[in-house]
Amino acid sequence: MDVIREILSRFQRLDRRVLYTLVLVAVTVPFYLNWPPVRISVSREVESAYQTIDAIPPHANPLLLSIDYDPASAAELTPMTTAVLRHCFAKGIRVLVISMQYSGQGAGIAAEVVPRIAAEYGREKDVDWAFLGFQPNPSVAILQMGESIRRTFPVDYYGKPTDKIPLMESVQNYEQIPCVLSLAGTAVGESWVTYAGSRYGLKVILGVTAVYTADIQPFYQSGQVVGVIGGLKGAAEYETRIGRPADGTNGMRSQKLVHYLIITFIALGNIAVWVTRKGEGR
Amino acid sequence: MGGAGGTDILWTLLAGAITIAIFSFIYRDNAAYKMAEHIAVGLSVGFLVVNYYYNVFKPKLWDNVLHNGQYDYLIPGILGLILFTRFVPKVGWLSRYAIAFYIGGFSGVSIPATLEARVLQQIEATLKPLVSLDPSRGLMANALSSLDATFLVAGTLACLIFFFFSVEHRGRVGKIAYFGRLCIMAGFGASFGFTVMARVSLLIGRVQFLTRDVVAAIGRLFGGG
Amino acid sequence: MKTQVPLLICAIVGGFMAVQYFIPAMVPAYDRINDYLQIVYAFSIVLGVASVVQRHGKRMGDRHKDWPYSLAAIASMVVMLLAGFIGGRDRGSLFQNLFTAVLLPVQATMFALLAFFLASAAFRAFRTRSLDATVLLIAAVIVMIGRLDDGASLGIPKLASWINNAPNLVSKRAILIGVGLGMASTALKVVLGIERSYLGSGRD
Repeated sequence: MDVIREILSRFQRLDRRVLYTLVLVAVTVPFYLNWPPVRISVSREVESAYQTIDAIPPHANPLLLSIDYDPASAAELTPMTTAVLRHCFAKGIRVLVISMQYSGQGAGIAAEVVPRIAAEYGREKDVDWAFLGFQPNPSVAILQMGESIRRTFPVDYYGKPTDKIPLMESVQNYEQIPCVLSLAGTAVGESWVTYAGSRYGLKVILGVTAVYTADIQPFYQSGQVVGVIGGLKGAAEYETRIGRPADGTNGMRSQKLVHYLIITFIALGNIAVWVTRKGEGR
Repeated sequence: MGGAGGTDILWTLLAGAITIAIFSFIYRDNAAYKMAEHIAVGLSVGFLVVNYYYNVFKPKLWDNVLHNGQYDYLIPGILGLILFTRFVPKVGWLSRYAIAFYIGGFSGVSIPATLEARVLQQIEATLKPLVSLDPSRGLMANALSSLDATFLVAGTLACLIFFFFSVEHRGRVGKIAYFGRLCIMAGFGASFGFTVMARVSLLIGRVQFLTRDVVAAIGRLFGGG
Repeated sequence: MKTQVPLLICAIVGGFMAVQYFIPAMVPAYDRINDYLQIVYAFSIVLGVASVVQRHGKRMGDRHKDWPYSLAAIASMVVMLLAGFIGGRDRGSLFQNLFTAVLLPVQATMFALLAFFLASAAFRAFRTRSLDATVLLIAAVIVMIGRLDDGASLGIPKLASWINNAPNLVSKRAILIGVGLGMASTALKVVLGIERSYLGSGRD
């Protein structure tokens, strides 16, 4: 027992670089071994997000897609963005893209991702999709769009007057928008609920990082948000739903291994403390 | 990344090198990490200015005043310029006018919206019928629904009471507050679980990029095509 | 002039923006004010840029030991400005490529480092010293396993879903209501001039 106590006591002082290496190995190995096996079932929050978007008629009024995240959240939210865009472009649902990320980096991400995915499906800029750029303050911009999207975005990201964009011919404000999907790494998603959902009755779907998934539950339960896509798992669920596994699904094996590694760390850390304290008579 | 095949490879390799430079911080702080960090600061500032010019200043201020004849847009233009008086101590107080303008605007707009979305609608969603008597559902389903609704009301009230510090948490109030505290601990536990997922996902994204995109770029560089 | 006028501006603009929520006829004026707010807000962000340039410029001027890094920061800012204003922002432009190849990896990787620190913290600091901490830990572990759809035979995914939709929901709702009331009351205090911290120290 003393030997075990000694081992556990040393274990508590394990060099952090050993822990870091274990985490790195746990993340990397699944990409090469296609192990461990994962099962992805679609949650009701993602299913309702999918159904809401799927209900939009093709070549009609567009889905409003607001890319409100910066590179810090890109690993979780870009797979979601990609999956939703693939869903829309495959079905012919038109997409109106904007960004409310204050530093403009959300617009930079949109400028990279949207044309790339649109090109996969041969979708035409300004007809099947348009990117209007970004506005710095979400609360003001979201409210203004409720009256006039053109006044909020007089030109698109590329400098073309919004009036001259074919997709915008039939779109004035939220009354012509079936729903908005906000992909946000911060509380910007709540701004959509607060300003667009409450005041204008716009249907809001939120794609959020896993950190915010727990915080969004009250809005989902109250019906203020009609669907939630949460974290990399949410992206994997959406990919499963559209039948096109991609980065989200591929990442779930690593996620599983690291989760169990961290649970093991927590358990071993607590056991080590408990055993050494018991030995010291505390 | 966009661009012709050859330049695409170089951009990918640059991104890979930058990623490894930042990862080197795990070992210890070093020159490569610091340099990458400072370059990113500079680029982000330049990126922000360019985007603000094209998305805000030019269409909303410049074009409205010079091309559309809407001279009232000079008001926010002047207010915005006044902000820069902060750098001159003697006249720095002038910047308060601009600050008061947008602080007042954002505060005013948030009052009714916040009360409606975060308070009233949340309370409405909490006060559901406690007893479910849907004839189309079975007894068990109705019983579980009723339990859910009761937990929702009781739990929300208990958590609100926990945060109410004007009354001492003793006796019955103490017991209710304790129940609220347990719910809050469970909620924070859920948040912690999700946070672990989130942080790990960020690392997965970077490793995915290195093991897939960068390795492929190196292969194309040396293998050709 | 230094205090009363800003408070008056705040009260008038704030009051207007609060009242317009209920009066549709005020929409044209409100629409204009929204544009004004965006423009002034944009200037305030650019003010932050000026501060960054000033700080790094000073480090270079004082020959601070890290001055080469400050030079790199200023130089890369200039490159990005030139790339954006001259080369355009389309996909494939220098501006967009610098964002995707440099800025995006730096920010994404910095946050990716958190995974390592979290693992280390989980090992060293997460201790079940009390009932509260134990409840927190058990909920966390169940959610972590349940989100992977593992342990279905033990009902763990269903339990994880219940934790998310019951105790987590009520706690987050209580926090939301409390924060909402706090936000609304603070905003009202700002508009009414009771809360004046945004005016600064007042020693001007």
